[in-house]
Amino acid sequence: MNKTISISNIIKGLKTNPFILNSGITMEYSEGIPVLGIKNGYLTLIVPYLKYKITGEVDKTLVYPVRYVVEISLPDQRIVRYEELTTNPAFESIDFNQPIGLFRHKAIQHLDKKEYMEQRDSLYEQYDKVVASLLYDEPYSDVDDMQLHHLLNMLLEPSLRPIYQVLDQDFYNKYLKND
Amino acid sequence: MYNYGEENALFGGSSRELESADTDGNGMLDTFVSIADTDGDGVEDTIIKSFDYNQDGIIDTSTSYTDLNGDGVIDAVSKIIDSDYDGVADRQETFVDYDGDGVPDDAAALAYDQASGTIIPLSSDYLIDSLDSVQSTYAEQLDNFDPSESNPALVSGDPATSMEEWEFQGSTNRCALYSQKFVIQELTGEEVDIEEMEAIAEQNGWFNDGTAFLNMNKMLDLYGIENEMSFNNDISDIQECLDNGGKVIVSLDCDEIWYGEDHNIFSPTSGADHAVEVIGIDNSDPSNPMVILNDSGSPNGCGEMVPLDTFVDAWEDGNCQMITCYA
Repeated sequence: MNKTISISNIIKGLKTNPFILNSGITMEYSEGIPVLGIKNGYLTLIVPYLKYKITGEVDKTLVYPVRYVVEISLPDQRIVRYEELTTNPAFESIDFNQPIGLFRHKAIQHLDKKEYMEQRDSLYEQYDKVVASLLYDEPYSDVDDMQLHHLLNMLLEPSLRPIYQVLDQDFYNKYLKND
Repeated sequence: MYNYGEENALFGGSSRELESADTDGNGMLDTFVSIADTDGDGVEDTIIKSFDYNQDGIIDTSTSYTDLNGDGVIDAVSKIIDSDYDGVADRQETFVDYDGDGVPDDAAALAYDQASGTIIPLSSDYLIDSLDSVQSTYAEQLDNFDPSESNPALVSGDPATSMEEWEFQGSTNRCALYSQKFVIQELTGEEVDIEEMEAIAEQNGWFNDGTAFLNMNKMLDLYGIENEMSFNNDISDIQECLDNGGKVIVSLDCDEIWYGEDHNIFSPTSGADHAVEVIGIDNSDPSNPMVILNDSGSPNGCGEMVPLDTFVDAWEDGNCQMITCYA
């Protein structure tokens, strides 16, 4: 039987996770697209928290910087790190109360809400495949990897890319770096 | 191991070969071009060019050119490379130019400085111009409660009285503070200064340019208001509290209240991001029950009337959290 972990379900579960509820994360912030990390041989899921503000205009929903990060070990799903990036030296120059971009960015302006969510579900399914491959030696092909690369680069707001470089340099180099 | 057949299934969908060529005339094909429908919508959107430079029968680079929005202009170019010719792709590059100006699109307002390892802000004319033109809109089309248009026997709560406490929070993130202020003032008859409230909340770690879910009742505690926070409630729980003379604060997804279901205006995240006071439920029209809110986040939020279904959908995004309050 194939072993699986659902990244989508892990993210949904964070909304009622006692640690998250008792943390300083305010209600305006919600989970963004996560990244996978490998720390001392442990596989982790790094979940950024950021806020968006709908302005009522198409493609002008404001995107704010990632402010909180929660890191979860896999497969046991323990929260192993919580960080507020206002105290991270890499973000010293950032005003977290100022928007840094707009949603929908151009790569996804042809997707309505339902279609966007479907594409994001597909991305998370690709994450599931990576995790299953790393943890349980399940099959994972170059095509799977390219699919993940394609979906991630399409869905991630361009304005957030530098922040993702800080979240995990290795993941960024593999999937997000443009030479 | 990477091979020619696989990149045709690069993004799913179907593909067909357009041409192949022996460009150096040695009798072996080295260049391959195919076209693919990567999103399965019946329209071919991607051209893939692949090259076998060292003539070992294995593709060394494959470049895909994709027209994402079907306007005839290539938007994204993605290249996979087997730089050491070991048959395994080891590098991938993506070049995006969604506005078709020939210049790679890049992060709008931030950059990563490799030398310092820090994020640095950049000036971005297009973002600044875009933000200058943005005018936030709210739910101006929602009605406000009018007691003369309802049957008081069918209204839970006393929305007309509660509406007297409403204030607009402006561009602050003080929704949870204002919701508590409305309740405290109505139950105690005491005027509460929002600036003092915020200062106290900040000092105690209950407010940090916003409120965490579990801190939504801390000011109520401070003012001695009996209250209970719970999750996974349903509308009958709210109604029961209002019918018993209590007050209710909930968290919900304000975008669903204010902007409805325009499928081109949305946020990629979901969840409760706003606190309001529920001041009544109006069943005067049983076929169209309305939930009445004191919503500090909207300039039109005094006695804001929201269809029950819309309210419940927005409330569910916060796991139906509610705080019941009694004098």
